Amino acid sequence: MKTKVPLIHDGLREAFIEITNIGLGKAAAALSDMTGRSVLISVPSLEVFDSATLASAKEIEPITSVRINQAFSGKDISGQAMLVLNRSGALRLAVLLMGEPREHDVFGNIEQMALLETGNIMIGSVMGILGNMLQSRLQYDLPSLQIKADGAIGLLSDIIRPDNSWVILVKATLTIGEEDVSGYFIILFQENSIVTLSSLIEKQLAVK
Amino acid sequence: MKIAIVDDSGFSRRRVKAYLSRIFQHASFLECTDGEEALRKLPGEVLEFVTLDLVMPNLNGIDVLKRLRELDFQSPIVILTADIQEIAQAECRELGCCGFVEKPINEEKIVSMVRDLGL
Repeated sequence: MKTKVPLIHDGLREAFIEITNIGLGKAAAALSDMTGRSVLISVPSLEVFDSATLASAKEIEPITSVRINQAFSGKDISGQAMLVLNRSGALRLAVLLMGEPREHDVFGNIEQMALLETGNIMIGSVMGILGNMLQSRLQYDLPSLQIKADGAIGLLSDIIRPDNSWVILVKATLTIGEEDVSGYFIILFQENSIVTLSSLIEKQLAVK
Repeated sequence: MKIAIVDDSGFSRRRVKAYLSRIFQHASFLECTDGEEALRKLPGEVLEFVTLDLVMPNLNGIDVLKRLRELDFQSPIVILTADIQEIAQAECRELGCCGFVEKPINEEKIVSMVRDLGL
């Protein structure tokens, strides 16, 4: 039987967004360091979705064809964090990372490795800050890279189990200054994380 | 001088090697692409130091550290990782790593790492 929509009160939402925002700032600094460009990441939004709805939702699947995602888990916390980009943006990012022009607009082995490592570093920045602030150790799976030649990939449908559970979606937009690189940084927390996150954040909020 | 770079990311290995090659122009490098390969290749080697990633396939960096210590591996090991969690850093220090460098790496971080190793 489906449980009620988990309640995330305003104080908790604000605290969670603030913690995530600090992590995103660190991720932006990391990406800026790697590319030599200014990187802008918006303040994230936080929404609770029914997993079945989210898995099939097209409106949160913008025109992206490249995704670097990494699963994380800790004590009663689990989910996926991901960097998603449009194809041309991902190719341009690979060029910036490699520091040299490429002959063809293709994702060769080295471009794929560069994008994977970039996703890994950004995800490590955001989730590491979260783990540090909540004093909860997170373990990471290996990052994986999905590329589709044309059109959008199923951004979330292959990750989310449409099992009627609840999912927290944290989403921020990302742009690299003076470059046609834009995308999203997304974190998905599974339902089992909600109580733990709430309690950990409440504990942090109680610290004077 | 021989330096080992243990990292599953070819992109990262390439960058680390490039920066270290500028500092140690005659160094040779032993590259390992995962933890299991590191455990096969590192023991018995005389190395100036090792850079070790944490999140890797087959065997992660923490487990590699543990196993190398059990094998009485003496070369200094510096963790070079995207995992910036303080708990992970503390665990690595308890296991005897000599330093912790957060990715993304750059020349300044590598120079500082080398200086901290006393080289």
